[in-house]
Amino acid sequence: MSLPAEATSFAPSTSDRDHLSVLHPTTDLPALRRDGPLVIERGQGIRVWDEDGNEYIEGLAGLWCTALGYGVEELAEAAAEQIRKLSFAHLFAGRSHEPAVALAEKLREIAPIPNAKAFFGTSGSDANDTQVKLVWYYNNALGRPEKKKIISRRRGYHGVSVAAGSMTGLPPFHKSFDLPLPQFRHVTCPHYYREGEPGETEAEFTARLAAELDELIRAEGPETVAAFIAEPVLGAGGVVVPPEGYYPAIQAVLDEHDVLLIDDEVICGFGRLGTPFGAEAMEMRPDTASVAKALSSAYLPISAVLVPDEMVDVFVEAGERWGVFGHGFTYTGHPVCAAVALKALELMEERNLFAHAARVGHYFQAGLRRFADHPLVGETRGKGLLGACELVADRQSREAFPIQRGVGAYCMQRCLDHGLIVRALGDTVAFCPPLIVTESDVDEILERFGRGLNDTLAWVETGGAAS
Amino acid sequence: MTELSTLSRSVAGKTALITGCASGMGRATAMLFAAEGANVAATDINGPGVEAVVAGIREAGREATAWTLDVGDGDAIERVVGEVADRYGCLDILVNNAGISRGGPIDADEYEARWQETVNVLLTAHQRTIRAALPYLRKSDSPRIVNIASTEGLGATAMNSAYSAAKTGVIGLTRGLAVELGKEGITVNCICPGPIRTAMTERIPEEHKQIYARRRTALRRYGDPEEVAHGTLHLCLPASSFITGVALPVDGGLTVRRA
Repeated sequence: MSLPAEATSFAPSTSDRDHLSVLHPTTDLPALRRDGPLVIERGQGIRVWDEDGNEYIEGLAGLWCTALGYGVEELAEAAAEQIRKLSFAHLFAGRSHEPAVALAEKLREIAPIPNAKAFFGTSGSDANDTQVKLVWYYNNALGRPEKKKIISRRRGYHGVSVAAGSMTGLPPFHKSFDLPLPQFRHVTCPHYYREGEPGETEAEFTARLAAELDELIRAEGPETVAAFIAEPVLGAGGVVVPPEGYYPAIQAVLDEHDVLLIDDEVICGFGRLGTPFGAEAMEMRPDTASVAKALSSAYLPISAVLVPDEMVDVFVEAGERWGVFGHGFTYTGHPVCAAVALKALELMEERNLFAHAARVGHYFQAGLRRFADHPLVGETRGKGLLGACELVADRQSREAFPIQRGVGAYCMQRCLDHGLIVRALGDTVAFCPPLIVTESDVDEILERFGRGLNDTLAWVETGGAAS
Repeated sequence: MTELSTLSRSVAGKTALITGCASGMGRATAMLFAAEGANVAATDINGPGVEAVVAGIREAGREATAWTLDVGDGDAIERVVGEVADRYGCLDILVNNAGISRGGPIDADEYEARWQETVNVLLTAHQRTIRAALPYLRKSDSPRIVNIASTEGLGATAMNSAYSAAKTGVIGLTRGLAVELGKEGITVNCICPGPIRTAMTERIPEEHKQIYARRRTALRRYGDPEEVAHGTLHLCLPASSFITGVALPVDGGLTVRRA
């Protein structure tokens, strides 16, 4: 609650009150209890302000999502208008409404798979959970009930719900949550810098990973493997750009064993890599795709699973035998979220945002590469407006810092002190600015990062350790 | 051990003018001073409120008189101080307690009006009561002035700049007059209450009060008005004759935890 102006003295701040009532998602809980939260109060453009009035550039677009930046009046208006007209309607049991249909049409027009129908949800996690259920339903309908296993990559991130979390390949999302479920397998992350063997070329690395996948599918039995899920460029796993030729090589294996490719476009979709979808930038030919985040520029929660007509035809046919297609959420296709998403896509088109992001993305990548020679930096990497700097203890041997030293976390904090929000993924510092950034914004982001990085170097050199 | 002085450790028989007595710290101060045997001249803008407080004091067999007084009105101050002196024949103690809280951002449309009102009630009124009372205080054998400032005069909370400015001013006024009037034996001090359960803080939900107190104060709790009154009483004792010019936090350790 906000207190009346007369009572501002001797009342706790939002951060004081936070710990009483909020259980935070994906958080170092002891550190939060010790240090308290950073309370963000307002945003405009690419910037946000905290409760003390400090300004930050949102260098991670919130959680890789605020593509159009903050304070877009047209989106506020689209939401208000739809709320006034029809605040809720559902898509269950044969109901429909204009905003959901219009958004599905728009997605069909631009989707990375041909002839796509949209199944709506509210988050990337539920979209990827839906992917699993649809694939299972699909194979049951086709009379191959054994074909259920899903393969993903270590360090891949596909969400946190039970099935999506099983596909995610990061230990914190499994450890102590009894995940992954038994139907899920993980293969090597396509990160040449970390996973490539001494003397191995990128092409050899790619061939090895394709062979690994092939061997796994053969070992499991192709008749038991349903799908392979991949982010075009891995996001939360450290912004990993697979080597050139990786997806065609993987695709050949999947095709051979009749395994579907699920394209997780939750981060890469809508211009992030300089193309409308990540699949186009990375030479993927997906069977289905998940979109979320930038779909509404995160003004309201909405996601979509895009599946081809042929798959839906199988569902319809199965319905003749099984009755109701029993999957859906109260907020599937929520009219306000759909109206806002449609407006967001229109604005992206009007403002030629994907082309803008591609141009500024080149500038950003070139700027990021300038840190490659910094004494703390092992690798700079990325594509479009998605990038990362991996900090290492020894550039020559690529030796990482002991994780408990918290070098990445320290750098993130120092960047924050210099007015830049970035994300530390271990000792990899990730960037994902709103797509509206300009070249001069990029200069400012990298200048602030440089200050944070130099502070971190000084701290490392004086033997600093995380408190 | 040296012999103790014979300075009185009591305000019994003293006449104390206390402003803002209808509730909170003023009421607690009036009740405490009366209980300690002082003649209490209690004032408040809320006439029925202060009458009720005085009635309670009298029921307990103690002496007090109520005056309706808006301390924002300089003429009214002059008149009431005169009436108090007439009523009791003297004035030994002045406690400037009456206050208001008018928060809001610096760029608010109503800021100018809030500033004027805040400074008038919280700061200008203090010098006016002091100036009106001075001729009588000068005749007392242990004249005492206590101004109620705030920890908001030592630190500050956002959106409360007029209040903070005025309370900082009260501390400055206290210090200036302590130096100026010291040669006459008049002590001038101020109290800086922290989080106290008063009308000003009653809109803060109890749960939020507890969070604030746990995170900000050493004693981990809000204070009660009476705990402020005891600080004021102490500064008004004849025996507190060598304490002047201080800004005493009565804040449960809020100020030291900020350090």
